[in-house]
Formats: sequence, structure tokens, C-alpha cells
Amino acid sequence: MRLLVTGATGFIGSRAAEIAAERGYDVAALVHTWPRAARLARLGIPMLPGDLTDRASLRRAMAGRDVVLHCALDGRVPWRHHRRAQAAAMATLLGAAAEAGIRHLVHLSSVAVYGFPPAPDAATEEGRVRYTGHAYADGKIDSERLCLRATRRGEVPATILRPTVVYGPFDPLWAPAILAGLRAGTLVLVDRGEGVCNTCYVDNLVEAMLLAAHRPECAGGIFHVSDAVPQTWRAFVEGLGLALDGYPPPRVLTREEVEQLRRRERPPGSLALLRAFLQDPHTRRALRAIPAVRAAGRVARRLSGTRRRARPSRAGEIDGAAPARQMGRRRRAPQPAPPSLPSSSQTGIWATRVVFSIARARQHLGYAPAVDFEEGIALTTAWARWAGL
Amino acid sequence: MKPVRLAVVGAGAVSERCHLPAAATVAEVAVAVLVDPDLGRARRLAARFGVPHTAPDYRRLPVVVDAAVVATPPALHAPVALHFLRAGAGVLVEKPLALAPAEGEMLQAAAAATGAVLQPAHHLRFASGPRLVKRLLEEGRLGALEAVEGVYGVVFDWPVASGSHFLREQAGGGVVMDNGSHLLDLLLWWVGDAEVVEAADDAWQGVEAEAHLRLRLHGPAGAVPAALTLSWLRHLGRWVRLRGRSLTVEQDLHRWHRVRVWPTGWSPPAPAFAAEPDPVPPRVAAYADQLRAFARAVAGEAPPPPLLPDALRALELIAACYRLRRPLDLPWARPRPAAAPDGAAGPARGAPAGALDSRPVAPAPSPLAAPAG
Repeated sequence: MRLLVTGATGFIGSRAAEIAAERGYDVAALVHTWPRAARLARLGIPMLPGDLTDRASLRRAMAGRDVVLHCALDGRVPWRHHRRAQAAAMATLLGAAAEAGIRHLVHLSSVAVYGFPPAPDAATEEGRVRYTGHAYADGKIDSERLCLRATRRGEVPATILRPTVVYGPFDPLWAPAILAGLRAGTLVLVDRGEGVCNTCYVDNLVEAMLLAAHRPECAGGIFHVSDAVPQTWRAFVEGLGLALDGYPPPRVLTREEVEQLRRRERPPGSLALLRAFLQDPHTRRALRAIPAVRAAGRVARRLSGTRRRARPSRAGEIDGAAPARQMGRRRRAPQPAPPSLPSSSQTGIWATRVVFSIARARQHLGYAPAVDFEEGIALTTAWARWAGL
Repeated sequence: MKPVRLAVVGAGAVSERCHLPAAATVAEVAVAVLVDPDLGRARRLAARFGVPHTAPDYRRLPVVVDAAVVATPPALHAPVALHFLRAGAGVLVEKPLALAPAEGEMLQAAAAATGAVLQPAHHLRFASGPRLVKRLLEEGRLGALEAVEGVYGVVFDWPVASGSHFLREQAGGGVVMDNGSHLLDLLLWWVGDAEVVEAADDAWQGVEAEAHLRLRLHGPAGAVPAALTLSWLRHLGRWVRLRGRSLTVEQDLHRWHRVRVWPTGWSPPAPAFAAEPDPVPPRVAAYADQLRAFARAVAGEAPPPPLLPDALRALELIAACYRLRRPLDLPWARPRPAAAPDGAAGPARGAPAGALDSRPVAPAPSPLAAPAG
């Protein structure tokens, strides 16, 4: 079986290429962004130039290949155009695959197609997908539909995998963000971290991709892919935290509290902006330089009976706390860093109680996740320490 | 002095970022032609840097030149340099000088036959920091050298436009050939000779992205252990630390003017203690000095900087690293699975004989970690 991996310089695609090469598959990698190819280049497999917006380049790369493992996502596209770009890329890829005579395409979708948070019926692949306005998730829905149409029409048989929270070495998303948040004390555990974290170790996902590649009869099918046992978000965060020597306890907020805080964080109105502008020390200094403003200030203070705050002396500024206190200024205790609020889609992911069933993948693909959570976390934290995350 | 007419061969990132901006500041050279098979790119850069001519092929130039800067993918270094040397033109060759020691020796012989200048490009030799370190070592300020540690780890982000940088037949190797060239050249210059004791890297059948090397340096005061860590995959920093009996010195390989010195056994100093020999120079300053020295040598006004023996020796050391290489123990690697699913795949290219099959070795401990004295 001759494989082509798209997105082979990315997190999942790199690992797919590695495992396929280790197992002796004839595997080639589609590469768009060459500076990211350092990890892939270790393998010595053919690296073929290609661009998801260039059908001819894809056709050339697919020549003589049987199966495409499609892991690519065009990172150049601005977020707001992501939906359209993903669908366009999928259409281009399917067109090229049909022309190149690709026998089977394994498409990586996501459980994001069920929305944030997913409805309870998302536990199985029969659950209803819904457009939420989230560009990534909506683009995944469009791509799935294109795959199913190409399968129905007999152009390219495609199998769709919906992985859950994919993690592992070289993860660019979860591990870096969670470790940075833990270290800085800004991480928010939504609902005490009791939401279900449907982890999926990257090797397990690659296993499912390779199994699907060998099951052309499953084309047109949709499969959840995750680890065997779901975790809680607290377990996932604490597991990753083992990569650190210690960290302040993460903030705990309910989903409603996060929503409230985010509302407060909304962009300030024009009045608030004007107030902030007038309170800015640079503005005040500039204004005080105008004699009329100074005089008006004096009058206002006399009328209101307040006195202008004395400025600390040079010596006070240099000597620090004690002179500052003499001047009647109160020092603030060091404030903890403000929590880094998850976005509404992230909150939905963190608060979900849905366990995505992998029964269908087990039954039809023969999927049996080989890496359990303990091993996956141990390997991921070993990598995180090695990478200095 | 009449400016040396220069051909810059290769319109890649190093020409755009380093050689062409540097040439624009050096009165001793005039870039007459920019050569690249991608003529569109060559023309864009030529317009930007005021180069009068462009050409797609270094063998057919529209103008006569006195010398050439060879900044092509490494596989072309030797053929391009040989072409100019045989025509009697001097060449400044980007690192690595060639892909193999034999190619390097061929260049040396060609230069000797025609009397043309063959100068390996090692801009760090012209930067103020490494020069200060060289002086400290020559004057014996560190005391007897006890150990050396070097790290060159940055997630690869050099804006390469093709995959040639990652193919062994094009690049000669991976991170050892690429970043190791810098470190080895500095150590050979600063300390003396070197031999490879142990080399481990993460390559499977391609080029390595992570390598750990243990060397034995042979300086005036005897053998000195050295450990180098090279990575394209993680941010480790870029520095070389040399521990002498009395002082330890650290060269920053990102900000080349920055050198720190502290008494051996003490903690490294805060930045305020850093010895900064000059204000922050522009990035191109070292390249400009390198080009100036090259131009003077080509014009016969000064002998060429004595870089060739070390460049040839570095090629031998790199070849030794690849010869002695062992698979590196990667902390997240799982044992290899037994077979492909369904057995349907089957090994297509025979059993791989690379890293994943043999016994891994653990990363070498730092020689600086050993107690002093």
C-alpha cells in the first residue's frame, strides 16, 4: 500500500508519517511549508511539494499513491476565512484524488462538528452536527459533506475520522497552553475540571488512520477516535502538570462565572476609552503643561476642597517602600496574574459531559487503542520536559 | 583599491539577509552579477541591492568577475567553487565548504594550482565576541582549559524555499552539518585540534534534527572534553561555554558581540556583569568584515585569512560524526510495534537499518557538570 500523508509537517501528520515509515509502508509526505520539515526530514521518506490550493501540485504528489491520509489544515488562512478555505481545500484535494486515481482517502475531521458543548446525542456518530459560526468546526462539517458526496458519487471513497482531544509529543495546542497557564497561575479549570476530557493519544489516532486505510469497505463511514477510557479535565491538566516542578493551584470557575467575566472583558465603549485616555499619566502630564488647564485644576480643587497628591521625591522613588509610605501612599500587595479566560468554544469543550463512544471504530475498523492514559501522559510530559515547555 | 567585481551565486536566504546587505556596505567589492536558476527571485534581489546583472547559470555569466561568493545549497558548493577556481577567480564558500573531506581537498588543490583565493565563509570569525574569546584564550586569561560545552538549539525557522536543505544528497546531513559547522569551526579556531569520541542523533533514514556529540579537543594544555548539543526541534539557546581553571567564558552565538566571563566555580553572572566589547553591531557587520578580508586577499593586498585548514578539518570531524553515529534515546519514543495491521503493508524498502532498530544511547552528560579541577 502506497500512502501519501498531507499535513505531514504538522503534529498529527508528522507522527503518521513516522509510524507508517517505521512499519515499512511506502509512505510519502506532502510538504507546503519547508522550514517546518525538520522533524519529517529525519525519516528519509519522499517529501513532495504541494499546496492545498493548487490542484496540479496535489495531482503530481498523488501520482502512483493508493491511499491519502489527509491531516492538513491551511494555517495561512485568517481565522474568519477558515470555513471557506477548508471547504475549498477539501474540494481541490478530492478533485486531484479523483484524477490521480486514489483508491481511498482517510479524512481527519473533529468532534468539533457537534458544536461547543456537544449535545448528548453526540455520544455516537449518529449525533446531529451543527454549524455554530466557529470557522474551524464549520469548515470540518463542510469538508465531511464533500467527502461523503465524493464517496456517494464513486469519485473518491473516503472514510471520516472524528478524533477527540488529540495530545502527545509535539502537540502544538493543549500541552503548551496548559503548561504555560499552569506555570503562570492563569489557567482556569472550568467546573472544577469535572468535565469529561475525551483524550486521544496521537499514536492511537494514527493507528485508527492506518486501520481505516486498510478498510476500503468502510468508505463513507464516520468514526469517533479517542483513548479507551475518558478522563476528566482535571486529570488531564494534573497529568500534564507532572512535567513541571511545581505550580500554583489553577483557578476554579464555573462556566457561568467564566461567561460573566468574559462579558466584563468586552471591548470598552467610547466613554471608557476617553476616561482611560484622560487617566493616562502621559496625557495628564501633557495636559498639565497647558497653563489654562493647570489653572482650571486649581480652581476645581479649591472648590471641591481636595488637595493635589504630593509626588514622592526622587529619593523616595529610589529608596522604595519606606519613603513611599511616608508620603502617604499605600503600596499594593502583589496581585496574582488575572485568569486567562477560555473562549466560549473552549468553555464548551471543558464543560462537556459527553463521552464519545468508539464502539463503531472498534467494531468496523478493529480499533483497539494501545496507549493508555498513564503511558500517553508519561510520554507527553517526557517530551515537554525535553522540549523545555 | 579598485573594487573586486563579484558574482554572488545563489539568491537564497543567506544571500538576501547577509551577503548582499554586507556587500552594499563594503567599498572593496562591487557585486556585478547575481546568479540563480530562479531568475525572477534573482531579479527582485538584484533590483533591491542595486546589482546590475542577473544570470540563471554560473557557467555563463554576462560579465567578467574577479571572484564569487558561493551561497548555493551545499551540494553545489564544490562544483561551483571548482568552476571559478579553475578560471582563476577567488571564491568565498558558505559553510559547509563541501559535503565531504575529499571534495574539500579537491578545492584546495584547484586553488593551489591556479593561485586563486579559496576562503571558507565563517562569519563568526569576524564577529567581535568570538575574537575576544580567542584573545582571552591566547593570553591564557582563563587558566588551563578544563571543559567545553556548546549548545545550538533553535526550532528550525530559516526561510528555506525548497526541501534541498533536508536531503542528505543535497545538504550532506542535518543539524550537525548545518549548525555543527559553526560550533566546530569556532572550537578548532579557539582551542586547536579535535576528535570525535561519541556521536548520537535522531535520524532514521533521513537527516538528523537533534544530535549530541562528545569531542576531545587538543589544545596547548592537553586534551579537553567537549559536549555539543544541536537541535532543530527545540529552543535550547545558542552558546559555547569554555571553563578554564580560573575563569569561565561564555560566547552567545545569537548576539555575537555578547561574551560573559566569570570566575570558575561561581554562578554565571547577571547580564550586568557581561563583558560587551562593543555596542550591538548590525547583523551584517561580521559579514562585511569577512567580505572585506576576502576582497583584500583577492586583490593581493593581504594574505587570505587562514581559515581553510580548520574548514577541511571540520569536514573530517563531521564525517566522523556520521561514521560513529548511534541512535539517540528520545524520551517519548515508544518501542516499535511488531507488524503492520493485517500484515497487508509489509516492509516496502527492506528492514530499516536506521536509528530505531539499534540500541539507543542516552544523551551525554555535560563535561561542565563535573566538579572543577
